[in-house]
Amino acid sequence: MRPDERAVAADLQAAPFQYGVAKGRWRLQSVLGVIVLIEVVARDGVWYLFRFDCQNYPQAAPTGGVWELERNTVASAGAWPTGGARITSVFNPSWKGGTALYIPCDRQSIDGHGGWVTQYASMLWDPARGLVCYLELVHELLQSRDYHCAA
Amino acid sequence: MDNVNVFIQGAGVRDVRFGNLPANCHYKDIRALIDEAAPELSDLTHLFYENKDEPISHDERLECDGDAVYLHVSRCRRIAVTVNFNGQQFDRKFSPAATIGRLKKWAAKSAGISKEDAAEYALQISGTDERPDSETHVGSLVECTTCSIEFDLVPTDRING
Repeated sequence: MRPDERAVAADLQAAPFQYGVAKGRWRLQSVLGVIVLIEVVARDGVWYLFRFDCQNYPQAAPTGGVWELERNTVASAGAWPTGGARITSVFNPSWKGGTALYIPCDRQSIDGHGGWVTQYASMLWDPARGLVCYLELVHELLQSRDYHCAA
Repeated sequence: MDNVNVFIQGAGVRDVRFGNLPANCHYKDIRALIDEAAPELSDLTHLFYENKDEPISHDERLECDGDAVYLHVSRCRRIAVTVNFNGQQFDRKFSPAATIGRLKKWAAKSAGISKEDAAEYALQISGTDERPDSETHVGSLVECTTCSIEFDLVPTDRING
C-alpha cells in the first residue's frame, strides 16, 4: 500500500472522522486506494455524495466534487447543492469540470488563488487535521441558511 | 450488554479520542478508557457529558442515549468565556463540555442577532484565524492552567475568486 493510501485508510478509522459519523454529519460510502466516496448531510436531510482524490495525502490537500454513484461520474448540474451566494460559489459544477469544490482547502482550487492564504486562513488545508477539516467546511455550508432545501 | 462508542475531548487536546465501553459501565471503567485513549488527560479531575454543566460523580454509571457517548475531561470546573462583537463584549461562564455551537447561540442572542442571522456568523478565537467547529468543546481550546478564552463573533465568508 502506498503511503498516501495508508494515511487515508488510517484517518477514516481515526476518532475525528468516526466522530462525524457518530454525529450523523457524514458517512463513508467506499474507499479504493486514494479515492474516497463520502456522503455529507444537508439541513433538509438530503445526503450529497462527494468523491475525494487524496493523492499524496495528507501533505497535499484532497480535491473533491459531487459524484453520482450509479453512473460513476461527476454528478449532473441539477444534482448539485443550490442556494445563495455562499453555496453557489463553492458548489459550482462548472469549476474544474465538477471535480473540485471552489474552496481554499481543495487542492485544485487553491492553485492560482494565493490571496486565499490570508483572506480565508480559517479554511485552508491542514494536514495535521486531515480530511475532517474539508468535511467540516462542506457540512457547515450544507447546514447553513444559504443552502436551499429540496422541495 | 451492548458496547457504545465513547468520544473524548479534553483540556488542551485538540483532537478527539475514542474507545469502546459496555453501556452502563462504572465510572472507574470510563477513567480506565481515558487513561488508555488520552493519557495526557488522566490527571484531570472533572469529567462531563457534552453540554452538561455538572461533572459526572464517581459513583455514577455511564449513561447512554444511542450508541455513542460524548465526554469532556477538564481541570477547570468552568471556563470564563468572553465574546467581542461590534465594540461590545459579553461574558459568561460555561461548562468546559459546552460546545462551540451552544456558545454561538448565546453570543448571538446577547448581541441581539436573530436565530436566522446567527447562521451567518462564526466564533473565531481572538488573535487567531481559528474558527473551531460547532461540535468542539470549549474546554479543549484552553490549556490546563487557564480557565478562560476570548472569541470574536465574525461574519462567515463567501468565497470570491
